[in-house]
Amino acid sequence: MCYSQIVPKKTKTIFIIDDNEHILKPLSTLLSSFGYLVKTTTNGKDPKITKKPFANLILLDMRLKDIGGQDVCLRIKENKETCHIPVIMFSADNRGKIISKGAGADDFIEKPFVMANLLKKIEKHIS
Amino acid sequence: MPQSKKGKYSARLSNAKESGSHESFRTHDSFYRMMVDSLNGYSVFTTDKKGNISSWNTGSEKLFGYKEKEAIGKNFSIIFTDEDIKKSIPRKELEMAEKKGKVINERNHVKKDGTIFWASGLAYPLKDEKSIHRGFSFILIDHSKEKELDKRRDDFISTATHELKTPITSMKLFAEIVQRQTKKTGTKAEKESVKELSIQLDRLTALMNYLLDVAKIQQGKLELNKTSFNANSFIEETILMIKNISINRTINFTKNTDKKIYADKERLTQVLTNLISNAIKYSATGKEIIVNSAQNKNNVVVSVQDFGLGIPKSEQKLVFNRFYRANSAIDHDIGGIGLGLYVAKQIVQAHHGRIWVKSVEQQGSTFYFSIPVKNRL
Repeated sequence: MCYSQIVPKKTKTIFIIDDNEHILKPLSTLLSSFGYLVKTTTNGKDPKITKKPFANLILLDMRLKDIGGQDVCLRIKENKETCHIPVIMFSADNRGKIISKGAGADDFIEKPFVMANLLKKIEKHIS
Repeated sequence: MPQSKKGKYSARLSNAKESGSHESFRTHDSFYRMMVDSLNGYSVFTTDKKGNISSWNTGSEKLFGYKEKEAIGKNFSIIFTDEDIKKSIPRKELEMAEKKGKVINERNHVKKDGTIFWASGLAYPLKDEKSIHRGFSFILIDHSKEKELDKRRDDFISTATHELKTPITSMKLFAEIVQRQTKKTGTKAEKESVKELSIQLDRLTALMNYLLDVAKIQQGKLELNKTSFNANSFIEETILMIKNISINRTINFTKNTDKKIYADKERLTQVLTNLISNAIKYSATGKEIIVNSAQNKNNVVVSVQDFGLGIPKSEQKLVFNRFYRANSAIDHDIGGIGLGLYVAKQIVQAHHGRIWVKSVEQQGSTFYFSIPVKNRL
């Protein structure tokens, strides 16, 4: 069962999972400058991910060091605490679109992406 | 080796065997045997009309592992994979060779020990002096190393492109941060520099996507994600997207069909974007661009017309070649790497469509592509 939970916060939180600091840093800076609260992890096995509804949206890289992004997505979507959180996956490989769909992700964006396009997708799913 | 000689050789060989004692034929026999065996590295063998092996040179022994004694009399399907045998490829190959006079093929073959390897081969029908069909001759060469090199090259391009995309993503994000900063506090020069940085990064991205597409095409991995949609919808979306970037250009769209097509929308958008971008690049700012959708028999035909430089007749077919750049592009210093139309052609062909151009120098060009309407598929 999936609890549809609305986090009673004015500011929406985006959680980014990417093992590449060079993406994580500028992406966090930009999303913060657009008014989002940003949390990050470089570890796809971070226990925080499935503990409780910790964010309003998750940005997830397809290729992580120890675990495939699609497996992380499956874990999020199979957990009743977190299954309602929209997940946007990204990858340099456009085949990622099909893979992410199969893992239950809500959307996909191909790297390199234009920030405006990512923001559009975020706004679409976070509301 | 010319076909007629081989034909005569075979006929003489069989005559010699029949008569059994003719000296000159024996000389011929041993001479040709010597020659065929000296083709080290090449498997040369002959079969009868049914494909049963009648001669087997040293190269064949080395390549396939069967000794001459073992091979003679067996059907040549022993060198084919189970998969190909199931598809009746050996029989089809004989039929094709007889019908067309020659078959050139590249495929996996099997050695005696079960090893599978990539080989290039030729098959000819053997005819005697009276043009009576006696059997077939085959020449094969091991090309597994070349195949492996090709694969490695393509894999390298794919991997390198993916590895390059991540730092580009990072750069684009950092550029965006700086752009937001300079918008508020930067000087004119700073703003322009950041804008240029963004444009160059986008160019780099487009270039990498093309290289990746070419690698996919070479590997036969250009996958299509087909859905059903109205042809006009993707044309309108594409034009809108381009108008957002090229604000100064007039792009007019005339709809002459509202048929649905079953195609990969993203890929067709890529084709149309390429054609419109070319129209923009090769014509002056004030000139309009006309996009048209029409129906021709079972196809939706999309055309993009510009009133620009045009393409000389001699170059019109070449523009779809990989890495080809029109002379006018080089003369006028118009950017590009010669992959756009090549990739466009591959995408259209993968949809069982056609792409072509009509053009008059100094008057302009019209590029067309056709995609089968949905009910045909």
